[in-house]
Amino acid sequence: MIVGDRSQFGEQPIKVDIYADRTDAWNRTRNVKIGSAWVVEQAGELIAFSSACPHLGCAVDWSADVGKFKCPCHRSAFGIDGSHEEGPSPRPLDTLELELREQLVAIRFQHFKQGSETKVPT
Amino acid sequence: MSGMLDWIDERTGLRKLVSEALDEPVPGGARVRYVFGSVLTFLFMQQVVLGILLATYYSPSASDAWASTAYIQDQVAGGWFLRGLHHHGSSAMVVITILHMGQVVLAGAYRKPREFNWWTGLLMGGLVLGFALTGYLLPWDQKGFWATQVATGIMGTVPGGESVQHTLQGGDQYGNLTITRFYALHVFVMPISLAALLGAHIYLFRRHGVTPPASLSDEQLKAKSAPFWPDQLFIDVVAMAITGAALVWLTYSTHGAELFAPADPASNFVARPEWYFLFLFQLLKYFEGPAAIIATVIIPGAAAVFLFALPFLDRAPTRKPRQRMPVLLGVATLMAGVVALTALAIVEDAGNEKFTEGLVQAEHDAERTRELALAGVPPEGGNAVWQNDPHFAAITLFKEHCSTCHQIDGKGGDEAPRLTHYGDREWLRGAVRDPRSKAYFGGTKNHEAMEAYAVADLSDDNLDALIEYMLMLREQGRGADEVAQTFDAALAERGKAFWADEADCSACHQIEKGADGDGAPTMWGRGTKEWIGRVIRDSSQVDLYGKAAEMPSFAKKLSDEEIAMLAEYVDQQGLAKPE
Repeated sequence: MIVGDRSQFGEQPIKVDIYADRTDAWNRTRNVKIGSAWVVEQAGELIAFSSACPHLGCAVDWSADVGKFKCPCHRSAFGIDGSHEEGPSPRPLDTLELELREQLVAIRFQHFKQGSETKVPT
Repeated sequence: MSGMLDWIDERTGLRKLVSEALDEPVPGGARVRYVFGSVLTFLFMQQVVLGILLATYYSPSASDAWASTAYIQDQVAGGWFLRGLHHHGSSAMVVITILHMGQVVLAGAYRKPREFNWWTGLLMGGLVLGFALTGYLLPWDQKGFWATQVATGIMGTVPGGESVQHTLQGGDQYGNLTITRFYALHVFVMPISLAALLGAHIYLFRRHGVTPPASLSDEQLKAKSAPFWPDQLFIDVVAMAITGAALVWLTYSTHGAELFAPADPASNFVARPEWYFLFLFQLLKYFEGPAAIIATVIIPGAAAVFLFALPFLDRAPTRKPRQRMPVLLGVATLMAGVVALTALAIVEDAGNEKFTEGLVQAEHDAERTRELALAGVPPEGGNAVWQNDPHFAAITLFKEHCSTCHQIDGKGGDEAPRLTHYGDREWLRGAVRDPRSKAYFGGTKNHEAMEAYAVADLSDDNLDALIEYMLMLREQGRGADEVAQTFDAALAERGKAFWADEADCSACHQIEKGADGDGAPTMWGRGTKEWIGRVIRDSSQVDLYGKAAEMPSFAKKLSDEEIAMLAEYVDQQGLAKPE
C-alpha cells in the first residue's frame, strides 16, 4: 500500500494511516483504514514499524521530547530504532516490509501475535 | 374480587405461593444489612428491561453499531437516558455486589451449610463483570474498541487462550463477527446463565434462611423473629428506591453514558477499561515480558481460588468475627490491594500529560462525529460519518478533479505545483529559490518563465522582506469572510522598497488590483481563498496566469459551492491551516 512520497519522510518518525479494501465477514468495504504505521529514516534507509504495541495492541505514539515511541496503555517504551526499552512489551516494535517504488513509499501491512516474544504474523 | 382470586387460587395455588414468599420468618427480625441481594435482583431486572429497550434500536454489526448507538444517544427521545441508566446500572451492580459480598464475609454466611449460596454468588459476581466486559464493546466506539482489544489480547497470551480469543473475536481481527458474538453473549448467554444462577441462589437462600448476627443467641433470635412481610420487604423496597433514585440522579448529572468517536483501527486512542477493571489494568504495568502471566492469570486466579475456597479455609468454631480473623484479614488485604491499585491507576493518569491530551482530543472527536452523525451515517460504517464533513467532501473533490496534476501530502501528480502548505512563507521562499522544481512549476509547460533566484542574487534577508511584502499584498485583497493573517509590517515596508528599487520581480509581476500581468500573476490579493477560487474557476484571467494559464477552467464543471469548498481546502494547507 502506497503511504506517501519519499520526500515526506525523514529522521523524525511520521505516522501514516494504512488504507486497503477490507472484507469483514459479509461486508466488503473499499479503501478503509485498517491500521497505521510509523515511518522513520535511519542511516539513509526508511524503516516502517507497525503502530500496534507488541504487548497488547494499543497504538504507540512518538514522544519527540524524550525521543521514544510510547505505549499509552501500559508504559512500554521503544527507541527510535524500535528496540524495547521499558515496560511490559515482550519484544521490540514490529517492523513492516517497506519498498520504494520510484519516489513512492509502499508498506506491506500485517498484524502480529500480541504478547509473545517472537514476531508471528496472524 | 375474592371470588376471582379463589378461582385462580384453586387452579394455581397462588395464595400458598404468596404466603410462602411473604411469611418466611426472618430470625432476629428485619435488618438493613439484608437488602443487598434484593437490590441486586432489582438492578438485574432493570438492566434486562433497559437492555430490551435498547435492543429495539441497536444494530449489532461493525457498520451499524456505532451509528445506531449514536442514534439512540442523540436522536431517540430519551434514548440517552435509557442508555445512561443501563451504563450506570452496571456500575451500580458492581458496587452492590461488592457490598453484598462484604456483608456475607462479615457475617460468615459462606460457611456450612451455605457453601453453594456462596459459590453461586461468586459465579454471578463473575457474570456481572462479564456483562460489563461484553457490553463495553457494543457501542463500537474508540473507548470500547481499544479497551476490549486489550482484554481479548490478554486472553491470547494465556496458555491455550489463543483459541478462546479467536473464537470470541470470530477471527484474527475485530470485525462484524466480534460484535455478533459479544452481543450473543451479552443479551442471551449471560442473562440466561445469570437468571438460572439467581434461581438457584434464591432457592438455596430460602432453604437456609438469612444469616443473622453471630452476637445474638438462638433465644434472642427466636424472640425477635418476624416474617419477611411487612418489615423486611419494606426496608428492601426503600433500598431499591434509593438505588433507583441515585441512578436517575447520576444519569441526569452525567448526561448519560459517554460515546466516543467510531472505532478507528488506525488511531492511537488512550485505552482505559471501566473503573472497576482499573486494578487489573494497573497490575499489568508491573510485570514485564514472560512474567506478564503473573498479572493476567496467576494473581487474579489465586484471588478467585481463595474466594471459592473460603468455606474450607475458615476453620473457626463459630461465625464470630473475632474467631475468623485470618479469613477476614485475607479478604480485607485483597480488597485493599484492589483499592490501592485502582487509586494508583487514577493518580498516574491524572499526572500523565499524554493521557489528558489524548482524552481532550478524543472528546473533541466524539463531539464532532456525533454532530456529523445527526445527518445520518453512511452505510460503510461509523468512520464513514466523516464523509458528512464539508472538509471531507473537499478532499473527495480534490481527489477527483485536482490530484491528477497537484499533490497534497505526497498524494497526486506532479504536473502542477504541490499544494502542501500552499502559499505560506516556506512555500513562497521555495517558489522564488527553486521555481523550476517539480514542487513548484517544474511540471508545467511554461516552467521556464520564472528564473530561480539563488542566495548570491537575492540574500535571505531581502527574500524574507519580499515575502512579508507579498503577504501584505495578499492581505489587501483578503475576502471579508477570511481570517486575517499576520505579517511583519516593518519588514513588509522594507520589502516594498526593495521590490520598487532593486528586485527583478516587478519586471513581470504587477502589484495593482486587477492589473494585466501578461502571464505572471498580479500580487495584489494573491493566495487568498478568494484568489484560489478564481484560479480554479478560470486561471486565464489577465491578473492571474493570463496567456500562460495551463490549468483547465472549472467554472462549468464545478458548482460555486464546490469551488468555494476546494478553495478553502487548499487555503487550509497553508496560512489558514487550522490549529
